[in-house]
Amino acid sequence: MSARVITITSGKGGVGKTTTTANLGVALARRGYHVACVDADIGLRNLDVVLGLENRIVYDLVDVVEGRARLRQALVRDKRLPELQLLPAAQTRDKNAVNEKQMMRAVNEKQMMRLCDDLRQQTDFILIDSPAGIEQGFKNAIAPADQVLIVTTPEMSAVRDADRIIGLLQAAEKAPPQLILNRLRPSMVKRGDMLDTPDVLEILAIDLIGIVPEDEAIISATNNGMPVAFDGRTSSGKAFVRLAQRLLGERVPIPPLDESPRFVDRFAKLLRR
Amino acid sequence: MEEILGEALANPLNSCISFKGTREGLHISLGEGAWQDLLKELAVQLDRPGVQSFFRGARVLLETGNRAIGVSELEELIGMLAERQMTLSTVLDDPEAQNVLAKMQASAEGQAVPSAAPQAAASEAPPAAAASEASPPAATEGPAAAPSEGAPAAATEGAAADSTASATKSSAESGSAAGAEHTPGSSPPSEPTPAADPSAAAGATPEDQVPGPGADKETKTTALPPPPEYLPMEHPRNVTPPVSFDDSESKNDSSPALIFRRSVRSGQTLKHKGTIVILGDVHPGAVVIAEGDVFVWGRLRGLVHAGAAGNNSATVSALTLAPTQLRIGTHIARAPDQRTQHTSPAEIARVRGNQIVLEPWNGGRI
Ligand SMILES: Nc1ncnc2c1ncn2[C@@H]1O[C@H](COP(=O)(O)OP(=O)(O)OP(=O)(O)O)[C@@H](O)[C@H]1O
Ligand SMILES: [Mg+2]
Repeated sequence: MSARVITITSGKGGVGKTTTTANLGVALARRGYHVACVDADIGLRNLDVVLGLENRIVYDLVDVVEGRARLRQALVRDKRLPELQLLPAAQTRDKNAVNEKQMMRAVNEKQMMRLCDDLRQQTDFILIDSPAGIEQGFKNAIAPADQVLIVTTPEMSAVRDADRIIGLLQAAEKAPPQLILNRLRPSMVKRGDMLDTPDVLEILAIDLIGIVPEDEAIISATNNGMPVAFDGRTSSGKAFVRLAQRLLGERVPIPPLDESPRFVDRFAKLLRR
Repeated sequence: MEEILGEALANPLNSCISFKGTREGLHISLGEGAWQDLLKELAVQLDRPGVQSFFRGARVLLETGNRAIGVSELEELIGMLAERQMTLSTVLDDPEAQNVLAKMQASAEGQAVPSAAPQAAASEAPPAAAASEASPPAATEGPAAAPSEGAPAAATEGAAADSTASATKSSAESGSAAGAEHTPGSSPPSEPTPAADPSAAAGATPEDQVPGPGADKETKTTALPPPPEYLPMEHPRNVTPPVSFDDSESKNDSSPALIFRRSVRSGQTLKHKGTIVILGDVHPGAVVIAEGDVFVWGRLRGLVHAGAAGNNSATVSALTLAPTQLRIGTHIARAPDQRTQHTSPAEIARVRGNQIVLEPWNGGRI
């Protein structure tokens, strides 16, 4: 086995990296693939919460890197879905910010690569949840990546940051990343009040691999530690399942959201920009 | 370059002049013979078909042999090289001639740009004694932008646009240029964001127009070379830079045009002493700063500054010209809030009267 390493990153914070990582992990595992989700957001870990595995953590990524634990000891297996494992980030919630920074710097790209090399032997996919920003944590997250997915919301600030990340990936000579457009609201797009997919793609000029609609189910799913991809009935759950299929190379078209906006509205929006 | 030169020189010359291409430039070593004969011979060799274009833009490091060279000889040689768009950067084996050369270089620059204070450039400029062998003064480096009229003045003027930094420095040190001011060389070269520019202009008396970066240079722009008649593209530079590219302080071979073969993205900065050609889009949040013109084969939506050393005759062209902010020379303009779709194949911005105007381009000269 030699896993494919996929890093999920964004530049801007809070756009849905962790949600995406968790749901892709679940969707791929439900297809029978072995998946290891790695929380590279050291100091602000929450992938464990979203996956509902928080209370089973004993060791974390930093413990492994610093030799206090073996990889196998730190990996948390999901009992609901044995194909899914989590390598949690170090927790510093109750410590001060200085510690957090130190912790972030405790891990470097090389260590991250080595860690992934070990992990590669045991799984089909390694999904790395990147922290926001372009600092060390981001560099660690993309260093081992074979493929990078960029998450953005249809907001100008998020798109700008995504653009910046794309530039950095180019500079790092990574393969061109793919885009996930998250939290799209069909009604707002229809009114011409939200950037639409073509608008975003025109700016970023990279391939779109999925669109995830704004969905309240995601919030309750997060609270329950049960990602929406577990039961593919919600609109966002379906979107994540399709996203996973596309990662597997299946040709699944991106369905239009409800109905597409009237041409006139889009034209009006272009003028307003 | 080494390779190319090697090829051009593969055919050894049965003369007393020998050539060697190196990283620093073209080494020319003179042997026995009368000065005038050598000069003629050199011209013949440089004009050999096929060789000529390889040498264009080259910096020359001269070995004089055992001969004493004075000002007039140097001038002759510089002029002859300038006709071929080459520059004499260093005299390797004759400290006295090197001194003379350094003075000529310094004073030529001093004239061309009396007290230009380009962005944060002085910080890393070599000391004026840079006339040393190891690092020839930046001033002598990017001359090929000069049209081929040929006189020594043309060559050094062309160079001046590329290296106002060291001009400032050397004239300040020789005490010859009144009011030479040191740039607050604090901002790091890797971040030549527009924010750095106003600081360079600080202390200048603001003029009526919007005080764009380098507004203090308005009156001096006459000294800058006119934009080249054509774009010398024989040796355009192709960069696939990391996040940002800035050669405004470069001491390396700087040819006139920089070709960037992809889009410039948010957070990226492209900075060049000459003309910049971008084959791709300039995204919102990207910054492009050129001392020459800017051509974008794509959509221009970021911030662009053409003629950044104060050249108000610079132009900015793009297939779609919708920059967040546009600066040409000392002028500055922001994008209109609304833009109608243009129908021309391309658009061009230039300074007319006292403001930047945006015109459709429907063919013809730029
Ligand atoms: N499609 C969606 N619909 C509704 N809410 C969403 C959606 N995607 C994400 N959210 C919510 O947005 C918030 C931020 O999501 P998430 O934690 O995944 O972002 P992140 O990019 O990982 O943030 P950070 O940069 O802090 O790591 C969460 O509360 C999540 O529930
Ligand atoms: Mg997160």
